Amino acid sequence: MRRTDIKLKKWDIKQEIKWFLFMLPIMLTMAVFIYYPFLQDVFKSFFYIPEVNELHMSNFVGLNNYVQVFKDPRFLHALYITFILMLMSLVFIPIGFIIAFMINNVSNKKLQAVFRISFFFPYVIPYVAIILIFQVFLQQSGGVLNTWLSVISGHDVAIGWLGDPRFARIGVSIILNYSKLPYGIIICLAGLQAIPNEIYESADIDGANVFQKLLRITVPNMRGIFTFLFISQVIFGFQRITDLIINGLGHPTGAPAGSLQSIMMLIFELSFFRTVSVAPNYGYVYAMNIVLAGIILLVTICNIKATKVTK
Amino acid sequence: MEIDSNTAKRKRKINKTLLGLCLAIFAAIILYPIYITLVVSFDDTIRFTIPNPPPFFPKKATTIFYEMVLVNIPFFRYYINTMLITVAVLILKLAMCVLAAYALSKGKFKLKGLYFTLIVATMMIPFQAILLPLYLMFNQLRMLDSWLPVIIMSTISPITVFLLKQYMDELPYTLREAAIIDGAGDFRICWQIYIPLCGPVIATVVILTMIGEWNNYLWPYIVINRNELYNIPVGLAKFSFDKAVIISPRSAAALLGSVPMIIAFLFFQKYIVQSIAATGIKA
Repeated sequence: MRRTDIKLKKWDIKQEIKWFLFMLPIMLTMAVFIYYPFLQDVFKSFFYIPEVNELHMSNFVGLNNYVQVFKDPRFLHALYITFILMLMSLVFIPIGFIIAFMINNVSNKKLQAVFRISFFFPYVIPYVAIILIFQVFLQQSGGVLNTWLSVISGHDVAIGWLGDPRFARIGVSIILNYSKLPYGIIICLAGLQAIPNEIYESADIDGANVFQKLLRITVPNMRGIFTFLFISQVIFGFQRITDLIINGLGHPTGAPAGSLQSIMMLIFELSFFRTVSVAPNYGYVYAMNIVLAGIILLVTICNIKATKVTK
Repeated sequence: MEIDSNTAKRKRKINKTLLGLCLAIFAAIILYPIYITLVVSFDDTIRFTIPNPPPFFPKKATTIFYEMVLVNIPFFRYYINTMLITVAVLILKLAMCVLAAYALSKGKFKLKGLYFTLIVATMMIPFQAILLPLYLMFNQLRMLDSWLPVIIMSTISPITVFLLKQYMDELPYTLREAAIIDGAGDFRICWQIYIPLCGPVIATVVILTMIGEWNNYLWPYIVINRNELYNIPVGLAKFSFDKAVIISPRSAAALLGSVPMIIAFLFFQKYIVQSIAATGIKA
């Protein structure tokens, strides 16, 4: 053991070159397609760039683009929408936990497998297909949900779940939570099954009832899983765009009436769907990219700190 | 005493039945949207709205809407495109990641820590934040309107490196020593000795890649503008933007787009669930 340690303190150029060749393909692709574009983001965010490829050294503006970003009411509003949508996208975590808890308590193994499969099934439907399915399901006139709501309430319900700016955020959140629920259930089930049975057995001996066991044993033991789901959902929230852009028929204006224009949608619009009248210079877009990356980095760092504390 | 245990038993039985019933109702709610889509796609009487109360079986069964979809958009082409992209991504991804994982797991060299950090660090850079520079770069390389940008970006997968490395760490180091004594080089050892032992983790990578490619929308939507090059997600979305005001063909298209994944699920559901639970990642 010790010999290898001593060996590693010296540079063995031949070894380094050999292993460098092993690492070369992945390092090269990462450098070209991840690091280089990111560095471009950083570099160009300090310039005033009126047209895509018009970068002049004399147009250096320092942090001006960043100042503009944080002063821009559109950006702040997009940030607000992103937070609202993110909060509403967390619903599947408690629901997923409850369902996973119930599945875990089914003692018949075959029945348990049947439930597991049926709850997991929507996971394999491609996300775009799920959105299409729900566009039918949530349709304003003659959609399934509205029809059932009418049947239950006795009134004519015609809510534009996806077309009315007042309800669109609820509508897209229904779709998102639906598509994430199977994932939440699987992760929670894995977490539940990792809790050692002995803890429950000793609680049984102490005469604890179901709810005491749930609150005192299960939930505390699931804290890591909840944190993981929460953090990944927060990070996803900042990057979320696919469902919103499809709801806007491929346009990132946040239809209906801008109610769904999250940060990513705004960046997307300013990058690829520019209308001359409202579009700021490209340096501004790069600055926004960096702000987005910065926010996500911050969340990740908080996550690492938090998990270290709980451990 | 005996009566007590009897009532307790009965109570437990009632609880069990209640639990099963609740779960069955939840499962029905979850599966209902997909089921109603199936009904709508086969029902000849439905055009724009779903009747009140929604039907549980098609009143007059027809396959005309499926025919409509298949005539209007080149659906089989989208299937083939998606599969070709998936295969290309898998081959390139595995080739790159296996080499890196082997080096990180079994190699002994000084720069290991640096490489590892650089790979971890790419996970900190969100793909969404580099869309614009990437697009401009591929534009300069004249690679737009082809699968190359899609394939290249899907190939970069730090998670795959970690999964493979983790698995290789569990494989004995003595295999390598023995092979070296027999005169084999590291490249051969990697491919002929360690890779054949990595079956389960490669299966996981295959599953995650497949799910990833059948959900890959944003980047293909940006870089591909030709109808015959679309993958399933982009083709489906495009169809829903352009043509599908009538809900029945829209439903048919959604289900058609899901068919290969549903078939894969029926055969491999156990492995799929395990992969997701083990990695906690939707690739």
